[in-house]
Amino acid sequence: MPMSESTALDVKQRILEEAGYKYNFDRRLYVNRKAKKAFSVAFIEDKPESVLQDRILQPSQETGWKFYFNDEPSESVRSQLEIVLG
Amino acid sequence: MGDRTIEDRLREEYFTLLPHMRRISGQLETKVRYHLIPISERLKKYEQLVVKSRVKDCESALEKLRGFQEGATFDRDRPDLYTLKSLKDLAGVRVLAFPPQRLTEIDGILLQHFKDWESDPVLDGDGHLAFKYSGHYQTGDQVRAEYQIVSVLTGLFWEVEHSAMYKPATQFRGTAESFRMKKRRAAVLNALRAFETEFENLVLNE
Repeated sequence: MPMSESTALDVKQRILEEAGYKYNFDRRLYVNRKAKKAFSVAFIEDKPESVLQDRILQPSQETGWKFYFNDEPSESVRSQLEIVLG
Repeated sequence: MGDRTIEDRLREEYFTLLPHMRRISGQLETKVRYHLIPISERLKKYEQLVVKSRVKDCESALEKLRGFQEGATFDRDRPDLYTLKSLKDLAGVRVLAFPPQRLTEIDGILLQHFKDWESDPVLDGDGHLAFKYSGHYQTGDQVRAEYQIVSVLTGLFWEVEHSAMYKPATQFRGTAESFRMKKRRAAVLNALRAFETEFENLVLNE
């Protein structure tokens, strides 16, 4: 892994962990169950830190989970993930 | 009885493809060994060249395909989207070599015989950690194959990592994507490369 990429991931990891996100290795998601938000690894890797911070600060939805993916998940995927994540 | 799951359909596909995967991995290994004979025959005492082939096991193949989906979840309304044929490494050959300077030489030789194959190198900060190519062994093959050229220590670490961490339960494969694990893996690979380079320098300068 190139050093610059490694450093960028370090920063993003810290941002996520400080905001209470934990890694779900079965679904490859960083998840905050309290906020009911989940970020895909691809989204985190592709987006700059500023976008990540912005999405973390966005208010949670009144009902259900908010998924931050590069490609919006289908209803089927969304409902399976909501069951798994609780 | 309910509808079959996507996983069950993929398991059926796997066992349909398995004879092809075995044939292709065997043929690929033979071809690679054959073209590397000129190097094998003139290896010095401290040098190594090992060629190994393998067929991806069923659950690893499913898990890899699932891991390619964001959220590692198949869309149950779109089973048509998924086929194991989309994986590039159902059949594979790994060439392990020491010293690392042999890697480029091996790559040059094999490239002449796999001209149409797609290059997908594993890069690190200073260059190639491994050369990796995928393609169809013969026109009309249903299964894609892959060959990798990597230094001995890195290749052996990948084997240990796979068998110790992910083999017991394939879903643990997802741990490899965590940023913490990526960082640790990069540190191990850097250490192994430094070790190998130091050994190479000592041996070559003797």
